[in-house]
Formats: sequence, C-alpha cells, structure tokens
Amino acid sequence: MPAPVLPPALTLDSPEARARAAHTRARAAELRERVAQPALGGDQKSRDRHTARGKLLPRDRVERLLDPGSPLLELGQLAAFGKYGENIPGAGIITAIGRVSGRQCMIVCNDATVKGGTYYPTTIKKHLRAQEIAEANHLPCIYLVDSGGANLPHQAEVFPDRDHFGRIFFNQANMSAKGIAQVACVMGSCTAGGAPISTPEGGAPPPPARRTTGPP
Amino acid sequence: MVGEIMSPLARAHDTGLPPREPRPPKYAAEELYSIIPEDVREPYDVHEVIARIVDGSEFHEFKALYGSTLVCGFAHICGIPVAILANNGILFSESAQKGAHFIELACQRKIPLLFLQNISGIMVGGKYEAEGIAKHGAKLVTAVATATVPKITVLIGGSFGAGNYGMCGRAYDPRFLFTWPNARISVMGGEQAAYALATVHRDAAKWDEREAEAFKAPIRQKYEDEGNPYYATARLWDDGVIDPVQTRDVLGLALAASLEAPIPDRPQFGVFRM
Repeated sequence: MPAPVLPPALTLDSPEARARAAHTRARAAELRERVAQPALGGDQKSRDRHTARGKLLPRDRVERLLDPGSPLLELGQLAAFGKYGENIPGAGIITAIGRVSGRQCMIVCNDATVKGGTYYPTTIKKHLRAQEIAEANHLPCIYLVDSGGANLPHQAEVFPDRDHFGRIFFNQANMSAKGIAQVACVMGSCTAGGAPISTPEGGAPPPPARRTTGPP
Repeated sequence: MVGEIMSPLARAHDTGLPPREPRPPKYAAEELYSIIPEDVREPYDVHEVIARIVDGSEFHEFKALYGSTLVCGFAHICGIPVAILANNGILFSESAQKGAHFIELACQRKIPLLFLQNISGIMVGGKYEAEGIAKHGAKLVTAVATATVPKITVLIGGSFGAGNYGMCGRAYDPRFLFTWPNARISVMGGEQAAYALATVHRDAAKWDEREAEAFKAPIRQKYEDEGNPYYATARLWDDGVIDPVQTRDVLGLALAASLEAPIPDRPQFGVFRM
C-alpha cells in the first residue's frame, strides 16, 4: 500500500512567500557565483602554464576518467574559501564521487594550477575527508596525483600530527587491507609526500613523472 | 588505463533493500525557494520541504500526533528507502523519545537515516528539566551516535547547541553532511552569547547601557561571521553548500554511494518503547 501523499498546503503567491522566494533565490545565485570561481582552479597564468606543458586541467582529467553521462557528486567545493590571506580555490584539490567503468569511485585529484598542488592544512583535511567517505562507503579510490607535496610555509600544520599528511598513506594502507581498491595515476609532479600516495596497488605512472622524496 | 583497472572490481554485495522505481515528487523543487524563511528563527512546516524531496511526495509518518516538533517517517528518494527525521520546532522530551524510538526501528529494518536539521536547541527550563529533558535528549543522542545504518544530514536552517548533536551533526559521523545557504551554525545565537558573556563579566554591575552594548556588539558580530555557512564549509565542517533545489539529486547520489558498503546486522536488542 503506498504511503499517503503530502498535501500542497503552501500558498505560493502570498506576499510572504514571494519575499522568501526572492531572498532564497538571491542566496542560491550567490552560491553559484562562489562555486564558479574555484571550479576554474588557479589563475589564468597558472592554467596557461599548465596547459602549455601539454597537461590537461584537473577538471578535464576527472571528466575524461568518468563514464560518459556519469553524475559527479563533488565534495568540499568551497574548502578554504576566504580562509587564508591568499586565494586557494577549492584548497587546491578536487574530491568527488563518480562512476568509472561502472563502479562508483572516490576521485581525489590535485590541482597543480593552485600553488603547485601543494597541501595546505585545509587541503589535507579535504583529502582525509574524501578517504573517510570512501572507507565508510567502501568506494574504491582513484588518486590523480600532481602535487608539490606539503606546503612548506605551513609544514607545522600539515606534517606531524595524527590527522596530517601521514594519515593519507595510513588510510590507503588500511583501506587496501579492507579490500577497498586504491589506484593512483601520477600525472605530473609527485614530490616529497606526493610519492607515497602514488604507490598503492595499481599505480599507473605515465611520463613525464618526476618523483622525489625523503629528507633534504 | 585507470578505467581498465577499475573494470573488474565487481560490486561486493547486495544491499538487501527492496528497489523501487524512482519517481519525482508531486511538487516542483523550485517551490522550496518560497518556503525557506530569510531568518532561521522564523517557523514554517517542514512537511513542505519533505514533500518536495521524496518520491511521489509520499510520506509514511511515524507517530504524527506525538512529539510533533520532530517529524519522523519513511519515504523513498530516487527509489531508495529512507527514514527521515526533520525538526519542526524546538526539541521537547516527547520529540526526543520519538526520535530515539524511530532510529531503533530504522536500524532494525536497515533503512538509511536522513536528518533535516533546523533546530534552535533542546528545550530548557525548570519544568522541562524536572520532567527529564536531559535524559530523553540523551536517548536521542545515543540512538544517533550508535545507529548502524548510513546517516546523511542536511542543515536546512538553524544548527545550534545540543540540537546539532541530537540531529546528527558532524561529530556523529553522518556519511555525508550538506548545508543550505540560509543555514546558521553555532553553539548558541549571537544575542544569547553576548548576553551570557556580559552577565558573567566582573564589571557588568558597573556598566551603563552604552557600555554594555559596546561589550556585546563585537560578540554578536563574531557569531554572525562564524555562524555563516560559508565560514563552515571553508573549514570543511560539511561536505558542501548546496542549492536547495538540488537537494533531492544530491541525496540520491549520496544514498547510492552509502549503499556500496554493506549495512551491518541489526542490533541484538528489540526496539525499546521509549
């Protein structure tokens, strides 16, 4: 037996309803505007430099990875919004759930056009949150790596603590142990902390990959 | 190449939830714009929101006449069954008990939980404390914290104080948490915080009205700034701010992702009558 249908109790043309609509529509427009900027990634110069190297922009990478017509559930689009003195669109990383070869996956893609894809404190938090979602929902992870590693001026807030950079690899190892596939594709820089991200079970490093790690 | 790697990874399990053909709600999502008040303190009927999110606008409400400030009921979103808890006013003992009872039921039936959070807090005051609001509120928080089914939270309005906890805020591990652009998030309202801090200030007794206001104004402003959903999302207290009209689509994707992991076996107790 179907559940009862909720009644249309709302009056849509009252002055109050019209005032609410105007206000909420303005808020929705503001949201669209705020999301559009980080969707571009870094500034024009950085994007030009990136494409001049023959590299695809991060959103194009994600788009080409997805099955045709797959919806994309993007997470934390406004991470770091107004948080640092400088503009760090999307905290320099894209995290999203989409379908790849018929399977829902968590995609984590560095944006090298934003500060060379380096990890700010919020970048770490966003990456770890994506992994947390993947682990809770058993979503295979795909890492599209193009990162200069830890953001050095912020090293004390990204390197040593429990929920800092090291946790990324910890999560990869533990998800792998649980049978949640971890796949990385090195698509550019894979420096310092970026290198361990690229070494889970099914790595696919195409040239030109530059990989360095370890103490100076 | 990555696609080739992924292709043999078969889906690990069957969700066990009866599938249903997805059907759009009877009422247009755009009508949500006319429902959401400018100020989160302004009341409205949350059934209006549910009607514009769930399949066919069909809602099987649980104990509609008891503890009516927390609306509970079963519905489908994009063909997936959900057990919805939605605030419709301040949380009283009855509403908290009903919520705890409903969560137990959803866990027994392995139905994912959806929290539509719009809460100014849990009722306070001598009368309510004497009748046990603290322990009844704790039942709800315990049920939320230990629920074994996927939980998804949408902040559709106010998210204040212990109400944030009882309605599955970030600390209660919802699989996903999204926020509407009109939402407000803080331990209490700015006015209330300014009043509380002014009251406990050691010089408060000596202040005239102007001095008291000079003390309160920056506190109010701080709460205004930090309670903003963009302040919250910049710090990843949520998984994103969403346009209200996208809520159903976002929830459909989030629910589908949640069902990739097997839902653990139901708890070994029966459903306690609260």
